[in-house]
Amino acid sequence: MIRVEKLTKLYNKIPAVSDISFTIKKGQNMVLLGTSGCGKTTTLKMINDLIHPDSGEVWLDEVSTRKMKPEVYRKKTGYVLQNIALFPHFTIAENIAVVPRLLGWDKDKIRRRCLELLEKLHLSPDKHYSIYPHQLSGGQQQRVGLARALAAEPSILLMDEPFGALDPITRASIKKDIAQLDEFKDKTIVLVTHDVQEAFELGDIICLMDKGEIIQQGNPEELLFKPASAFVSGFFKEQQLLLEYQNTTLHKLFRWLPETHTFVQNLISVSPDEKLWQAFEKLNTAGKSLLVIKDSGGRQKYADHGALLHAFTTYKNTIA
Amino acid sequence: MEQQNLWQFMTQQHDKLIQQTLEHIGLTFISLFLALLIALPLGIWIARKPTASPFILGISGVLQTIPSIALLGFMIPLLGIGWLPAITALFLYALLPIIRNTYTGITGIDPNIREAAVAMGMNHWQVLWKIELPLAFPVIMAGIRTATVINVGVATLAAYIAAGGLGEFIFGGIALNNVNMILAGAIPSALLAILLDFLLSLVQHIDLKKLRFALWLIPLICIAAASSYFFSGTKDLKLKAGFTPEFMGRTDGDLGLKSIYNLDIKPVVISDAVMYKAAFDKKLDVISGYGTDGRLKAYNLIILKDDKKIFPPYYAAPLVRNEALIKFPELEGVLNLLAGRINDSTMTDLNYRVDYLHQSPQQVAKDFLVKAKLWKEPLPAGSQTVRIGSKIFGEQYILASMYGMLIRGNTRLNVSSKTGLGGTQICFNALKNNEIDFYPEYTGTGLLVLLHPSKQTLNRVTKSNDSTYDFVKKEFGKTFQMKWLKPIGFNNTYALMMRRQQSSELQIQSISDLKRYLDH
Ligand SMILES: Nc1ncnc2c1ncn2[C@@H]1O[C@H](COP(=O)(O)OP(=O)(O)OP(=O)(O)O)[C@@H](O)[C@H]1O
Ligand SMILES: [Mg+2]
Repeated sequence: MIRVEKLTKLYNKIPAVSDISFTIKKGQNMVLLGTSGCGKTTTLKMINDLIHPDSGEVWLDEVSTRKMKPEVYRKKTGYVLQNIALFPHFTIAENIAVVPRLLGWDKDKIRRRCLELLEKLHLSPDKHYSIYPHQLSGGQQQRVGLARALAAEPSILLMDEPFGALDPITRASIKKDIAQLDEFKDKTIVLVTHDVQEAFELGDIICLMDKGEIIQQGNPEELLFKPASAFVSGFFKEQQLLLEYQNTTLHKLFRWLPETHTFVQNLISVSPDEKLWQAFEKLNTAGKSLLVIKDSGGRQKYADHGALLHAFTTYKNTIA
Repeated sequence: MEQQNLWQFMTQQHDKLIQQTLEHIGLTFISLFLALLIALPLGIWIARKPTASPFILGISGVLQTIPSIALLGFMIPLLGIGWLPAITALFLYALLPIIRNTYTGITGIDPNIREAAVAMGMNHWQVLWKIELPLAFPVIMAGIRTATVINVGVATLAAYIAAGGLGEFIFGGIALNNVNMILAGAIPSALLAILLDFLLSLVQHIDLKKLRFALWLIPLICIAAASSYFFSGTKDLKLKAGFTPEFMGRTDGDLGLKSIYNLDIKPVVISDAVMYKAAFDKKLDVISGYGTDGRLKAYNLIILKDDKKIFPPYYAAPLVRNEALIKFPELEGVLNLLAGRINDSTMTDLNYRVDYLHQSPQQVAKDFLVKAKLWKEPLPAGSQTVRIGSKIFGEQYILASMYGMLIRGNTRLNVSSKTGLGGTQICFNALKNNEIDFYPEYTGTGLLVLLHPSKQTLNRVTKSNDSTYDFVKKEFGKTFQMKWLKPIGFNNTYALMMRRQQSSELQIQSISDLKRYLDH
C-alpha cells in the first residue's frame, strides 16, 4: 500500500507538483492521468525518492520512507522509466537481473527468473537472452524495461508510460497480456499515462492532474458520471460516450431491463459483470438480436438494442 | 675515425640502451601510476561536483600549457635534480588528460541511465562501479593513452636533469652531431610510444565484463614497469658527478677521463642549463663545464687542473674565409686588434655579466672596448658589408658584437650579424657556403669536430696550445680555404669543476687529486 501526503516539489520556486495526497490500497491500481507537463512523472519519482520532495511524506506499507534508506525500499519497488533507459552495456538478461543481483539471489534462481520473464513478455529466451539493448526494437526494449521492474517480485510497481513507444495494435495486445500476468495480480501499482482509454482500462482509481494539482480522484465511474469540475468533463468530452459504455456494467442497468420480450429467439447469454460496450459488441458481431442476462439471484432479464439504451439513459438520470 | 652504422652503434652501446630504455619505461609508468591515483578520483569527484570542475580542469589545463623544459626548470629549485623532479613533472603532465577524460566520460553518460540505476536501488558506489565507470571506461582509457604517449615524449627531457632515460642518447647525439646516437634514443622512444599506445588500445576495447580485471591490471603493469627504473642502475659514490650529454660522448670528455685518468666517476647526464646551479646547490659535486663560463664566477666554482692534458686547448680566434680577406683587405688588421686582449678571467667576467646579470652582449662588448681603449665612434659606412656569424650562446654574442664595433669604428665597411647560428656544424656550414664572412671559433673544436684527425695526430698536436693552433691553421687553409687569425687570448676549454669550498676541504686541485680521493 502507498500513502502519499501533501507532496510538493518546486522548480525555481514554481511548483511542478503541489500538495498532492492519495492512498492506494494493497493490490489496487492507480492511474495518474493528465496532460503533458502536469507533474505525473515528478509525482511518481517522489514516491521512491528519485526526486526528493520539498515537503510532504510518503508511506509504503505504513512505514514512512523517511525512516528507511532509499536504496532499500527502491529494491522492493519496481520502476519503469518513461524513457526506458536500459543499461546499454548489459545484456538483456543482465538488465533484467539487475535488482535480483543487488539482492544477492543465487545464479540459478536469477537465470530461471530471467527466462520466465522473457517468456511471459513474449520475448525469445533463445534470441534475446544475451544480446544488447540497442539490438532490440523500441517496443521490445519497453518490454525488457517492464521485465527489469518485475524481476525481483516487488510488491509495489511504479510505471511511467510503460506502453508509450508502442503502436496501438501492439499496445493493445501487450496490455492484454500484461494485465493477465500473475505478476500484476496483487501488486500495488501506480501507472502514469496521458491516454484516457488506458486509464479507464487499467485503473481502479484514476487521479486526474492538471498543473501540478490533483483535480479529481476516484474510481472510473465517479470521474465519468460525477465530474468534479468543468475541467474534468472537458478532459473526457471527446470520448465521453464511448467511455460511459465501456465503464457501465450490465449489473448497474439490471433494474431497468425488461423481464420478458415479445420474440424470445435468436438469444445470446451474457453475464451481468460485462460492460455495456461488450453487450453492444455482442449484439453487433454475433448476429444475435437479444441478450439474456442472469444475475446471481437467478433472476433473468432480456435486452435488445433499444432496451439497453433506455435502461442506460434512466440509470444516468438517477445518478446525476 | 671509420663510419659506424646505427646497428653497430646500438649493439656496441647495448648496455646503455637497455638501461636507458628501462629508465624511460620506469619514469613513464611511475608518473602515470601516481597520476592515475590522483586524477581518477579527482575526475570522478568533479563529475559529481559541477561547481568544482572548472577550477580543477583549469588548473590542470594550465599545468599542461607550461613548456616541459620550463616545468623541469621550476622543479629544480624545489626538488633538485634526478628522478624526483622528473617524475613530478611527468605526473603533472599526465593529470589533465586523465582528469578531463574521466570527467567527460562520466558526465557524458545519459542521465536517464544513471537515474535508472538509482531507481533500481543502487547506492552511490554501485552506480559508480556498475554503471558510470564501465560506460566511461573507453573515454577514460583514451585519456590514459594520451597521458602515456605524452609521458614517453616528455620523459626524454628527463635527461636534462639527471634522471636518465633515452633522452641521454638523443641530447648527447644532438650535441655531438652524431646521428646514430640521436636515432639510438629517438627510435626506441618512438617505438615505445607506439607500442604502449597499441597495448592500451587493446585494453580500451576489452570486454566490459573483464573491467575489474583491467582495473587491477593497469596499476599492476604500472608498478611492474615502474620498478624497472630502480633496477636499472644504482649510482652510489663518494662524490656525485653530472656531465652534459655532449661531454659524455666525447674523447676529450668522459671517455678521456676513463682512458687517461682511469677515472670512472659514474656520472649522471644533465643539461648544461641546470648543471652549474645543481653543483652550487650541492646536488652535484663534480661537473663538466667550459673554462670561461660566467656561471663559474656566479656559483663560486673552481676548475680542476687537467694535469694529464686530456682537454685540448680551445683558444678562440676569428675564422675567416680567404675570399673575404681578399675582398676586404682592411679586415684582418681590424680583427687582430682583439688578439691577445682577453684572458680567461676577463672572459669569465664578461660571460658572467651577460649570462648571469643579464646585461646585453652589446653593452658588455662596448664597456670592454671602451676600457681597453679600443672603442671608436662608428664611421660613415660605404656600400660594402661584412657578415659576422656566431653560435647561439653568450660568449659568441659578445665577441661578435666586439668585432662589429671594431669594424664600424675603424673601417668604412657595413656590418650585418647573423647571430644564433646554432652549434658548430651550422655555423661552419654557413661560413663554407659563403653565407657569412667569419665567426669566432675555438681551436679544439676546429680540431676535433671539423677535422677529425687520427689518434696519433691528435696526441701529437694537443701537446701544446701552439701546436694545436698551427695544425688547425695549416689544415683549414689547405682543405677549406679559411684562415685562423690570431687567438684572442682566453682558453674556453672543457674542464671539471667543483665548489671552491669543497675542493679546498678535500684538497682536490687537479683531476689526479680527484682520482686519488675517489680511490681512497
Ligand atoms: N529538473 C527540472 N527542472 C525544472 N523544471 C522541471 C524539471 N523537471 C520537470 N520540470 C517541470 O515540472 C513540470 C512537471 O514535469 P513532469 O515531468 O512531472 O511532467 P509529466 O506530467 O510527466 O509530463 P509528460 O507527460 O510530458 O511526461 C513540467 O512543467 C516541467 O517543465
Ligand atoms: Mg512524464
